Amino acid sequence: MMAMSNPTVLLVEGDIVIRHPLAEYLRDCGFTVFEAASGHEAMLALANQDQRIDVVLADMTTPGSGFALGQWIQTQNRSVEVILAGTVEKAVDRAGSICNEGPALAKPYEHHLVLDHIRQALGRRDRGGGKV
Amino acid sequence: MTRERAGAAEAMIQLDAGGAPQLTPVRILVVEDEPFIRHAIAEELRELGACVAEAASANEAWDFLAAGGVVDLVFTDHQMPGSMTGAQLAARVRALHPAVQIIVTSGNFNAREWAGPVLGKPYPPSETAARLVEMAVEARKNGMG
Repeated sequence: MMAMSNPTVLLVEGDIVIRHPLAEYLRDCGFTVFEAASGHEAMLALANQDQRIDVVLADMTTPGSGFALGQWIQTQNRSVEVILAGTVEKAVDRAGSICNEGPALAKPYEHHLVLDHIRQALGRRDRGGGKV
Repeated sequence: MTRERAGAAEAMIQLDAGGAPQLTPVRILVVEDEPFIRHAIAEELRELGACVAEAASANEAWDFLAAGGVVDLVFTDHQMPGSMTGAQLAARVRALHPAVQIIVTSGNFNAREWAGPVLGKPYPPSETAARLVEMAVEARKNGMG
């Protein structure tokens, strides 16, 4: 049966500078995105049966995420695809793969542009710059 | 990063390379440590056409801004984990960027750091989102003046 709403990606990433552009990219690909800033937030989302989640894309270095989260998900009565990424490059690459299979007919932009954006933002933060 | 959405949150604020005005969505930063509340208000705002960044703490919000995040409005919870409260975040943003609209939300607000707008909790997501978008559009227009 065809789903009535867009598939939902649970994005688990503890760094907002990485999480926000990744989430926006996935939204532009047609997904609904539930953002989790920690493994704990991800577990809250997954434990709520009313919250639709089809794919979990999780950074392995975020507290409470990684293999511990993956193992916990296996104990839950949820049918979700779990993707673990160990680096920002891998996370962006996997987001690009999800995007290719996503509900949008065409990709909004190449995923390497997301990586460029993240690197520039991380650089600005590291230099203590930035503007509102 | 663009996306076709309802135009309620769009404000005519930028000129393209040829000098023509461009419609771009207002940008709202939602700061809330409770993920379901954060997701609910953020999705309501997106439905209205806003570009929304979600921060799980005041520290994360400050990180986002330090990394170059540009916003028209900050909507922040007050009591959150971390070294900074929502009121402290609001005061810091106000001091550095007076054109940015800031609303603090709290079930029990008593902080001295912030004398600006405070919205009580719980709030109705749909009506609140509509009001926030109006305020963000206003902030955008004022920021251009």
